[in-house]
Amino acid sequence: MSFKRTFLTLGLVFIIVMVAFAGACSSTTTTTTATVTKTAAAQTTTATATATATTTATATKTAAAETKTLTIAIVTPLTNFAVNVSMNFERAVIMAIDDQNAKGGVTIGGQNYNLAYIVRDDKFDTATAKSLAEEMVFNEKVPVIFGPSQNEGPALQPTTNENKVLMFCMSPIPEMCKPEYPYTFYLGGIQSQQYATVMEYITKFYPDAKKVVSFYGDLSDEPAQSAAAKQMCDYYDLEWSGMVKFPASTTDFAPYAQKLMAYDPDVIDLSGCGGALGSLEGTMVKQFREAGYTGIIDMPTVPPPGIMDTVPAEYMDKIVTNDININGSIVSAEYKSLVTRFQTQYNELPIDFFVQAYNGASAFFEFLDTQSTMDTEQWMQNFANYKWTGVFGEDAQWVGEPIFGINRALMTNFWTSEWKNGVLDTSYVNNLPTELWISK
Amino acid sequence: MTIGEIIQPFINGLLIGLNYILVALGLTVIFSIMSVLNFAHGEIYMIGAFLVYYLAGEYHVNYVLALLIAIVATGILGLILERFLFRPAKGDILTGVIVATGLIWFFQTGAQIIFGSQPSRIYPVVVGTWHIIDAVIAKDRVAAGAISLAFLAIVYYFIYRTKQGKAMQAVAQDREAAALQGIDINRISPLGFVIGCALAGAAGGIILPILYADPYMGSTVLSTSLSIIILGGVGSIPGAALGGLILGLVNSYGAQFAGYISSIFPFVIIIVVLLFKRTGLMGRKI
Repeated sequence: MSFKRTFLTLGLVFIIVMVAFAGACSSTTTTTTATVTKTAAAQTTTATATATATTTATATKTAAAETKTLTIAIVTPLTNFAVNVSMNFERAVIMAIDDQNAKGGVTIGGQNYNLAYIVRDDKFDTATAKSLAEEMVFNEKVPVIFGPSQNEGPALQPTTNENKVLMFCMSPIPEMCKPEYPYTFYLGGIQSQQYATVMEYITKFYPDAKKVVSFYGDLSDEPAQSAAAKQMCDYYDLEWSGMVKFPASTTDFAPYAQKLMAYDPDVIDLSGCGGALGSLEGTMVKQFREAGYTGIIDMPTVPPPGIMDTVPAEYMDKIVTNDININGSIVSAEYKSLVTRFQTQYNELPIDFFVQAYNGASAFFEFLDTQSTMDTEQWMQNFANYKWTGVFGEDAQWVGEPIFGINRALMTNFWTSEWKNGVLDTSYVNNLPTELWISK
Repeated sequence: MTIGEIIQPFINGLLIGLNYILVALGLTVIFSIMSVLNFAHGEIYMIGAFLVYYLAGEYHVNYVLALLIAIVATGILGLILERFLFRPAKGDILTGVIVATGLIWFFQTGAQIIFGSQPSRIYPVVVGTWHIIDAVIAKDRVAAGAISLAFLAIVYYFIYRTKQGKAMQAVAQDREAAALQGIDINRISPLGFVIGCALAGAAGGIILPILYADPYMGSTVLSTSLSIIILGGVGSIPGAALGGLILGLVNSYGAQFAGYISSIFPFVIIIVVLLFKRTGLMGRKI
């Protein structure tokens, strides 16, 4: 009997604790659930989310006799590793689609189309990604796939390329960026641009800093990252001492801090710690400082919002980053507006992938509205030459030919920030060496 | 090589090893009493970390109080799991594995829906470092090590010095013989599960200020815990302690001196140990 009584008492305590906890967490739970519901709905339907916008669209598109639906696929990890990054990617594409539908959809060759989307979760798994590419191309017959935001791109690319389906990834992985794969575009900027953005700043404001050591996770973009680091160190007359590599599953970076410090660096470079590893940059900075490192830390790849707020202020000096404070004096109105819209819609701040993905996705949908054919080969050729003003306030540029042999990577921002007195100061515009990445 | 380069990984390894021990001890207690390998043990660790994250990080509850609440909550969760999921599967290894695997999916997906997918950190409870000879030791690691040690001492006292603890040992040694001696197995099993899960929850909450919480953190911890109990000896409490310290030190020295490749060192050590002693360092034949 006493055991039963104990069991019931403990059960009661548990229920009380859980009810109290659920009450305390209610706001977060609501937000997250809403997101998942939206995603789930998107998985089973061809975007009904744009119904409201369609009314206006039909009115403005008087030339079109009947509005048809043009379905776009989004294939990216929505569970498993890197889900946060991918969710930002997914939201960027959906927001760009909604925005285009609000403007009346797209008119191609006189026919008006309302954009719809199918979302599929590739689970950060190459086999799943491959089968989803086949499903989208052969069953759904989509002309465009957005994704993946991570490194499963090579699993989809043969199917999309052979069937002339346009594909929009984030990071340009070297094995994908080849002239024989012209149907793939990259929206996240090239690694050497990310690196140059912080390197120019460091050489200007920390002229005594010379020795750089990089810290990389064992992800498939590591060779591209390290090559870019070496290239840009050479360009800026810095000494790249090499890299320390860690398993992506690492949670405790303190032991690696010692190995990094053995190089006696002036700069520890975290360019290979973005994307899926971006959330760990706060932990890295804290542990490097605790290990006694007082030099510069560069973070060309940006941690998610809020992560750096958990790092004690005394550890935040000499951190140079591509992260952006929207209140910075140089930040474009378009950027501010986009981030504010995201914040209003999702009740959280976006990561940098969101803006980069939106920058390319929204331009592509605007571009479609200028096309006269449904021939995706024409789309591929024309979009590579399409001009628009990007979210970052500059004319958008496709780059990459000197590196990959084909211009398919979208330049991102020219802004560099540094943490000063606990505040992210975004006030420096770089003079990036674009001649390195654009063929004359 | 400086003295600091020798001392620093030792202290780091020792302090993180104490946290490993807490998790592995929980897993081994559950296994030895229930003969259930709870593959969802890492998820209990994750829940402990997230409970502390929300209480201390989001709602500014005192960290120690948040940790205690997390321990109680994960302990009660263990009680519920034992009573409604694992007890019905008792004696059937395959069913136990299926239940545990299902729980992993349930907790990971649930955590992603409730807590979001982004790793979550709290502001450190203790900030600053101590300089010992050439080594720099983070105060929050020392604090985490001290709390882990305190919990280990309490668990050690409970298991080796109290009547209930001795009953647990008896059940672990021979379930039928213990029952014949008048020990109520149906009381000891939930007690083992409560202690095991509370230890995992405590470890998650203790490590949070140093590392972070995310819905998938349990997978890495489960892998480490399994390595520890295999190395130390399945079902052996002193073995779990020894295994945890060895793995903590191997990971720390390995990363510092060998870097990336060191992630295979624990498995090499386990293979070597098992070649010479198939029951692990301090295990007994099952």
